[in-house]
Amino acid sequence: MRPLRSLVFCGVLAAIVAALPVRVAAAEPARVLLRAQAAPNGTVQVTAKVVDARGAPVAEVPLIFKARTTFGWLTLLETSTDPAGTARTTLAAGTTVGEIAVEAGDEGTMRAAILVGERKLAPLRIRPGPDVLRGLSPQPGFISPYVVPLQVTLLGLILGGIWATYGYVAWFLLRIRGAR
Amino acid sequence: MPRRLDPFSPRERVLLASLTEAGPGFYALVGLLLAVIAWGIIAYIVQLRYGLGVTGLRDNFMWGVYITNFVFFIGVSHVGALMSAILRITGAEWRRSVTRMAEAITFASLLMGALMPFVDMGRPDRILNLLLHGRLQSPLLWDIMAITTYLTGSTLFLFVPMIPDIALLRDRFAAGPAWRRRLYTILSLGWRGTEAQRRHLERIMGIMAIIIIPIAISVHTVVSWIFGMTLRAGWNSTVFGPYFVSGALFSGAAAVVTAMAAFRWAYRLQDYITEEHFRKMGYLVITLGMIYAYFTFAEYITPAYKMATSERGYLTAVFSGQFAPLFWFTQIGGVLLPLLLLTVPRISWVPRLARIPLLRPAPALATIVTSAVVLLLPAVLPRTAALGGFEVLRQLPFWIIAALGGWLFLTLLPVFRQRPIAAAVVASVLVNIAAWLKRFVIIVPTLQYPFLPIQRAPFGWAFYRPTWVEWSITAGAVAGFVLIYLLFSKVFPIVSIWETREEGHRSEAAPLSAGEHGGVADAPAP
Repeated sequence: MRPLRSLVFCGVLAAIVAALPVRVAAAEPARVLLRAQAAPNGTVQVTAKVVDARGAPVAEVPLIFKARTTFGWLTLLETSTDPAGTARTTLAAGTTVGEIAVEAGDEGTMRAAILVGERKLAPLRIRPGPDVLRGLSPQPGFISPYVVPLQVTLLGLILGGIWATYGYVAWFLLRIRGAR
Repeated sequence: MPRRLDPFSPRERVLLASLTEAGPGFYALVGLLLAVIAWGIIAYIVQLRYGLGVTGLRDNFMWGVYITNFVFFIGVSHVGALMSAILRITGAEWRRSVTRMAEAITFASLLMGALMPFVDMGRPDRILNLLLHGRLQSPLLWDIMAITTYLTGSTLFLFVPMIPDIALLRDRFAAGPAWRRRLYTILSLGWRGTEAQRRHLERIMGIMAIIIIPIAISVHTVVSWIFGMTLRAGWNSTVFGPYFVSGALFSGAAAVVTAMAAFRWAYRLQDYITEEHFRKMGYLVITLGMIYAYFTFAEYITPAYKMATSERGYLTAVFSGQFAPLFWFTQIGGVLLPLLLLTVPRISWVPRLARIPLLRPAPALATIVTSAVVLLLPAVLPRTAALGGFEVLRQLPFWIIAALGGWLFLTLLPVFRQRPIAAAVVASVLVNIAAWLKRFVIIVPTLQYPFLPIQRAPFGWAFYRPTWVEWSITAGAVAGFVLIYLLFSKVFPIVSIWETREEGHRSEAAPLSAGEHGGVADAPAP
């Protein structure tokens, strides 16, 4: 019976150990992962996750979220990771920020960056679509091979106005011919 | 035998001299122009046959002399419509003798200018690609639309005020060839000088005078955008539009002065194109020249103050390097000297210069010419140029020539004060030569200093040297412009007959002809 008792004891012990809550505080942070997700209301939630060398989340790691603006890199939020190893910040709707970065660790030794609003790269095409061109330039209207309604309207109004005046002049010239 | 009545009054006879007189000088000039045009056509055929490789144009020098011609001709074309329209609207009465000359310049220079991009393309059939696949966002397509619109508008603007004069020719040019009578009959639109016709004519002229102003301004602005919309040193400028427009008006007004002097001399139009006209045109040229000088200063001081690394090469080449002689000639010879020449008749101290022995014309000219010849001897220049290490000494020939030029100018100032028309003509010719060179200086240095280095190109491609083909086609284009202008003056009166009658020549009108014809030359004016 002794071997059977020993086997049951070991099984119960293993079950107890397996049931204990995971303790991660002692692990060393190794990497920081950054993810951005746009919400339907226009806001963008940026999530950073710190993991150790085995990929396990690390809690209470100091983090700084930064954004690249026309004035350079500005701090968005200074915080630390929660027990799941994550930290979040939310960009307000309409925030025109191109790149978000996060620095993790006491001296900011880990870094990750992400382009906010980055569009999917379209396959290479000889004649790229308007969606691709919008990603290439802030003024796709001028580099695109597609007509832009506003430009067509403006040109049409200007040229149409001038040529209509020419037509009016031509009509008067014909009236000169017919006048008595 | 009864004496045949002259159908023209003495005044009309003078104003129609360009139509009725054609001496040996005229035929010699036409022959010369035709020969130059034929040579230009031969050069163009060579270019078509062997490609643009026969020119100095290369991958990175896609624009050169041809586009210089294009910008120059489009610029000169400005003045006709714009000057004429503004003077009409403001009621400047002195304009009547010169507006048609200006409008005809617009017509002739637009025709030649519009041809130049076709020549520059190498294969003219490729213009179809621009029409079939051109993008509406491209300034090149805007340019085509703008020039077409402007050509149509300026042709109308030239034609409408001519209707009464064409009717006069229709009625009185019975002795002319049949094609000419038929042409006058068609173009006179049945003009009889009735009240209703006059009303319509006035209305059309009013409309055209107003609408042609923004069109003319927009055309050269669009031409400037061909350069300004690209990211290149020297072209990346916000003031390029007004800068081009001011330069165009300046050179165009100068071209009108040259044309005025040529017709005045050739057809003895002293009573209609007087010193007063030259004086007033001179004021116009001075004003436009100062505006142009201001824009030039603003255009260059902004990048030159910063000397950004990417633009340093270009700016150095223009101010003190390879293109400096051309650039400074355009500023001193093309702006400063002409403005001085045009103001000479109003400067009181100029006659005193003639009292200085060194500035007496005969000895001064003899010394200057002798010095220049000695200096320019091929044997002398290399020896002076070999004085390496001393920048001032190496530049000695340049400074000596500049000093001799200054001396010559001072010597001639009292002479020009006595002859204001000659001064105006010299000034206007200088302005136009410099205007062409300035377009060259705008185009070529920028292409020579790209922001990105050119890779795997032969050494020779880094420089632009126009070849005989380009010079021949350019000469042909200039000859074509002069020939169109000359032929225009042979078919239509170059000075408006019915408009000048209102300027104070009524007393010379022949009572015999008044009221007998549809034309209104010596009949009551509209």
